[in-house]
Amino acid sequence: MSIFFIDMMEMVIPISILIGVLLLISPLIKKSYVAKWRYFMWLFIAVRLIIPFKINMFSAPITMEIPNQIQGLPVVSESVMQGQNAMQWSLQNYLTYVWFIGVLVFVLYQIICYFNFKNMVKRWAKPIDNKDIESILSNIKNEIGEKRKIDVKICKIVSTPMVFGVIKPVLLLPGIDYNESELRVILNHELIHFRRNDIYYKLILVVANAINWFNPLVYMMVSAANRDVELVCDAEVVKEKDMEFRRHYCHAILKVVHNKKSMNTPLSTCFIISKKVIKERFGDILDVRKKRNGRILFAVVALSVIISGSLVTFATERVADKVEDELQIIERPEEKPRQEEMEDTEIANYENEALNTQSTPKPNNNLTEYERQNENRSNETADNYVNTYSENITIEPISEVVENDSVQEETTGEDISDESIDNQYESLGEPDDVSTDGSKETYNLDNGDTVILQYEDNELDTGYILVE
Amino acid sequence: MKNKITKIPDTELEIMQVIWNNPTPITTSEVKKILEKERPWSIGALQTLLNRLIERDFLKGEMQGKSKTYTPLVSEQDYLIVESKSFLKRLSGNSITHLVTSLYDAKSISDEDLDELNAFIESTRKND
Repeated sequence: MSIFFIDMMEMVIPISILIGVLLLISPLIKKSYVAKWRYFMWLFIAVRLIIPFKINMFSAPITMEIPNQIQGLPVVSESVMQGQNAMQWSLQNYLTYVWFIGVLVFVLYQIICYFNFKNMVKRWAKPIDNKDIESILSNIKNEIGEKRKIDVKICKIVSTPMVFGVIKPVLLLPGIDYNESELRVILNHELIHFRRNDIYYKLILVVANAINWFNPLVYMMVSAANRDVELVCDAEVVKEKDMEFRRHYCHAILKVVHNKKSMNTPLSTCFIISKKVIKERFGDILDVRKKRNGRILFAVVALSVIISGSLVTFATERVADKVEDELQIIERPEEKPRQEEMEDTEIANYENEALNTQSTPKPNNNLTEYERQNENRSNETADNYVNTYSENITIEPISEVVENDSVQEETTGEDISDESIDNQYESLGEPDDVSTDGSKETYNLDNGDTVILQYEDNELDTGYILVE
Repeated sequence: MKNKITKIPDTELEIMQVIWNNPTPITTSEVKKILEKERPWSIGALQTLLNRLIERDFLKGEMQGKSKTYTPLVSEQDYLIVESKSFLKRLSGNSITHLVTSLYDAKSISDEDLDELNAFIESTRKND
């Protein structure tokens, strides 16, 4: 869960910027582009938000420094370390839990609303005993090529015609006080929603919204997408139709708006906004000019959506994930070494201790500990494999930690361990294990440690030592 | 109507819908006949529910000869507004659930706006 959380957080900033830009430019270009490209754009972004897949085409150009608090870096002095680590970890866990509870609340609220509405519909829905409506319905179904069955019911409690229901959608009409031609376009509109499976489109948006409940831009995106669903549907209804039909269609919508008015309470506000929205919608329907389909635009935005997750990387966490793949088991040390008694043989124990103080098995400390050693060494020779390539692992806050006074207390221990590691790893020999695509080499050392080298495009990308 | 209109249970609503959608005054046996198009009803249960609706001030009952007739005191429209209002209040606002595709889902609109939109649609005629 926390991995998912981190993956998601990495995308939040770039995706939010992207949504913001899209929301800003779409009114400017909507005259010349069809609504459909936006429809698919929002879908694409929503799927991306739900599945925070990582595309490691290149190393992240931006490395975010997570404040120590969140990152949970091993702090050097042991006494300080235990206290602070506990605090740091509880903060990260805390954030993850807050997020998760937020998701639960959001989902629960949506479920309650859904079933409340469903009950209400069930309470009021009456079957139609009108042969005319049924014949219009089957006519339109043939016209648009929809074979699935859909129930049409009169439900006086709803204020506008609608399709409702995820599992068994039902078409609801608020009444039958429409004439035949009005009924025809209204049913046409709703059946096109049904054919396009727009309920599921909206479901995907709701899920994306649930995961990103904290992000106002996602709410804005969802409401823009809900509007675009209608515009796409309108466009489908009036496709290849003449102006007379289009005007008739607008009038039918206006009649629905009018009927809704009689249902609404005087408490409803925002008259001007809704007028603007309807006017824009009519403008779209009555616009017979050919518009661009926006394929290139879609491709450009889709590409930026794909790479956006790779733009920002939370350095330590990212590397930690990789290590976690390699390192399945972390052993608990037998005892806590006292700082004064620390000898080089106990360094490894100490490192494990650093790991275990952090309740969750997140073994990034193996690496950060190692990084710290590297920092200490970097002024000296850089002649062994791992050392050379370790620069690729970006863990900024290390230098700060090293500069910290408390580090000095330990440097003696560190140095010894560094030297011994240097000696041991002077020559790695043949790899013990090479991954199938050759991108990963594993060396098992005599002392039980493991060295892993990762290649990308035949160049060494990262290297780690996993200390036993 | 002294009391505030309150939300009524499903079965009572079923009876009220029959009474609203048929010519009134209506007799118990007529109500029963229409209700039984959907499922069987016992006359006793129906009687109880009708009496309860009278207690709620939804109905007025009068004896006409041998049978009792009923007239609604609350109109369907009034009741719809009450129920949808409390419903919307409970679910905070207009966005009841995202999982509907409705023809029009925005707030209400004034008469002037309706006229203006009408004019807007018609204004495209001269460009034909």
